[in-house]
Amino acid sequence: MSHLSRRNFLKSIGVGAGALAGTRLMGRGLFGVARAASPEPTSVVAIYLNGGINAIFTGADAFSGASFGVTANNVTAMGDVVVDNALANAIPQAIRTRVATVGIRHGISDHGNAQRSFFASGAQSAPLMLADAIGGTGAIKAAVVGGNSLPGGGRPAPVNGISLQPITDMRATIEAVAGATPAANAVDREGAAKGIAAAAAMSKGVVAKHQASLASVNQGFDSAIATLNKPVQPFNPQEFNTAYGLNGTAVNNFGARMAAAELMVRTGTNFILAQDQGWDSHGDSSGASVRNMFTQRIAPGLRTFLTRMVAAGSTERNVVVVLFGDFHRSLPGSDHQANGAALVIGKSFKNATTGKTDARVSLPASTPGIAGLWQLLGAAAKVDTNPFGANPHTSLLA
Amino acid sequence: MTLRTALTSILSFAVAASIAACDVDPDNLTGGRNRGSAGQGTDPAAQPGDPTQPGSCQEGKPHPGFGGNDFASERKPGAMGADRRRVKPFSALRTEMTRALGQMPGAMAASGAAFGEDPPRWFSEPTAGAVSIYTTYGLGFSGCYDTMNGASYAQAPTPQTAADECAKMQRKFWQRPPTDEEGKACVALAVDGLASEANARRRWAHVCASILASAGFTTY
Repeated sequence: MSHLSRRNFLKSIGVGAGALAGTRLMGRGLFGVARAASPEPTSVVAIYLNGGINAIFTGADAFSGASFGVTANNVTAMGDVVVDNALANAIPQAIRTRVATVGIRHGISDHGNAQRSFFASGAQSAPLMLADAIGGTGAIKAAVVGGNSLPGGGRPAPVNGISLQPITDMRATIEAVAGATPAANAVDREGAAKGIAAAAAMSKGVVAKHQASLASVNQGFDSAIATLNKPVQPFNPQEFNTAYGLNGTAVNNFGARMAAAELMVRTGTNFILAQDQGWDSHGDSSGASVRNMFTQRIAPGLRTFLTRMVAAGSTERNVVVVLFGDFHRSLPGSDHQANGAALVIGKSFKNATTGKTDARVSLPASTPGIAGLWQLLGAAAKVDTNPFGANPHTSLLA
Repeated sequence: MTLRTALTSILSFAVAASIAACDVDPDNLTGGRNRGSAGQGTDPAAQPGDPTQPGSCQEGKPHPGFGGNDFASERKPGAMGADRRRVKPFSALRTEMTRALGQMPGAMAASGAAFGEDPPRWFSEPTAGAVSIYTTYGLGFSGCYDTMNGASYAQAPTPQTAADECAKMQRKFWQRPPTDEEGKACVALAVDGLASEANARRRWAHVCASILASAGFTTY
């Protein structure tokens, strides 16, 4: 029997307290890399409308009776936040007091530049910086669901060993975190962890020579080994299919992306990106096209996610949802406006806005740029040290 | 200089040049006749004045367009042969798995989504990730287990049998012999890493799967 010293006894209490408190006190070694940061399991889920976001989803009252087809009857007010019903209907009543909009005066009106700029902070990847700052014990700390890159095809370099992991299949992901159904010829997690570590060792020479083109291989090995060394987390693919109305396990539509986002939130992932394509809505001056797309494609999965992860899970975790796109759509032709806004939802927020435009889709000159969004997200995630700097949108926090 | 002397000189030069060509890294597209046959030996990048390194030879001419911008100006210099390998897409992996194992693992056909398989007429550069690597390993394990039904796989690996089998599988799966380091990593897994696995056949299947999950197999 080992001798229990006073130091070891106190250390045990410390570890136990850390486990009870979530992640704050957990140090390296017990569950891999666990950085002291957010005081509870925290995830930021970014929903990116690739092409742009119409301001009817972030401040519809600016256009009432004038443009984008906004009337008094097709919008919902949540305090100062007034949004189109296509979006409002996706937000459960219980969390409508936790919705805000953030102004982003970025001055960018081309897609490529906007997409690159939104996901960078200096020379680093903003999502990975945030995932790193949040800390936690998840094996996969940053993920893109239903794809393998950021908007515009960017594949960011890791930040402190945190890489962006692609999640393209629910069943395969669940097997990675929970193990395959036992069978004589089915792989076991313990053996797989050792085998994949050996595969990584066998790959060293090849990957060293092709560091850029095979960067994802090294990152994948690290994340796979970390995942397999975690305790088993049982999930049932059928449960997700039922909740999100899915037929298969491939993450190939927006509903499946929201289901995958829930899976990753529950496994402890800090940053999750779900993209939807086709939002470059030129000519949609009535807003009918984007309303219809939102209602058909986005709302069902978003509503289910918000109900299960934000409304129902608020005592267990801090889930921040941010909805944004390249830029606002301009008037009169729904073209490119050189600013934007993001809708944010989560228990850190209250009904307030810094993202309401005027009737010409302009934001006040004092509105912060892209950095302000990440500063706000860092603050909403309650990180100890905000890697982006002080939050300029303090009025939005509860 | 006599005709004989001249011919001898030319012949000597040709022999010397061909010997030099045999030292070229097999991954490089340099025209060497031994491409794909080795994968071991000294790294030419470590040699001073090596022509495979950037800046050691005259670079190409600019390619200005109508606007006067040089299309090639943003190209980053890199060593010959570096960053050529890419992750195999699922469409290649499934046939490669069949080549390596002699049969396709049962779950292979339904696993495309785990690799982010693109829909028809669509392309995105394949990448590896935790899930795709685990899936490759799992498919490899089941495929290996199903085919490793010989008597030799009923015995736990020894240093000798592990060295023999590792070399054999690595040569076959990667289509090149392993380096010493790669061989040792495989043997270490078989002999020590999986010592707690009581079922010898499963132990061998893990060894086989680890080779299939390595970059030598999943990239080209």
